[in-house]
Amino acid sequence: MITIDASILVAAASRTDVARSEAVAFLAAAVKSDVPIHQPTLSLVEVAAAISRRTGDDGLAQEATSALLAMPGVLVHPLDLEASAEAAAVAARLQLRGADAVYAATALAHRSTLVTLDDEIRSRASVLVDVVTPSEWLSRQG
Amino acid sequence: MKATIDVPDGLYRRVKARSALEGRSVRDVTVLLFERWLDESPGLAEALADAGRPSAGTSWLKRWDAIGARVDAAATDDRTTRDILVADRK
Repeated sequence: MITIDASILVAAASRTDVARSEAVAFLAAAVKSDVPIHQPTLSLVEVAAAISRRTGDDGLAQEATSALLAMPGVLVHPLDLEASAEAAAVAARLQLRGADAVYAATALAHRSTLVTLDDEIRSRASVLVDVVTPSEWLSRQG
Repeated sequence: MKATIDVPDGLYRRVKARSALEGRSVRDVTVLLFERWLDESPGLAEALADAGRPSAGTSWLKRWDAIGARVDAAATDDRTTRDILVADRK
């Protein structure tokens, strides 16, 4: 089981991103496997916001949201009161940024591996959850 | 007629979210899908023979890549989408 940081999703969709190749290789392997993908609803919001802010095109941002909801194997978890309390506890314990804490708490709740391109979340959250880069996750698959 | 069905939590959340995005009710989407399925039922064998076609994963990746290409083409900000996302988190 995996949880994918939104940074990977947007990196895979941008030809000018230096991490595109790594992100695309990871996503290809992830969606073609049977591994469940546990995502916080926040990931939908982050991707839509970043696309809309880059392009000014709300329709394109909404298309991306629809595509993420249709990703094979995805299970989107709402940030309800219980999930928020868990994320708050993770944020407080690990001194994480709010968004990072939501991803870490989602991975913790569903015992999934958090896959990220972000060094800060990787270094801080690894005491609580399994955190790897896309390349590391690919290496583990053999 | 009213019907009660048991839908997996994750699936229902995705259906509800996409229905909201498209400004439809879940009921309207459900009726639409029932109608389409009945209309397309002669093609069921074709659907079951889907194994030789591109996998759902491959199709999804093509869809995601196409969206990415359109994002790059429509960009009015020199930063990458990831740069913007990371900046928003700080």
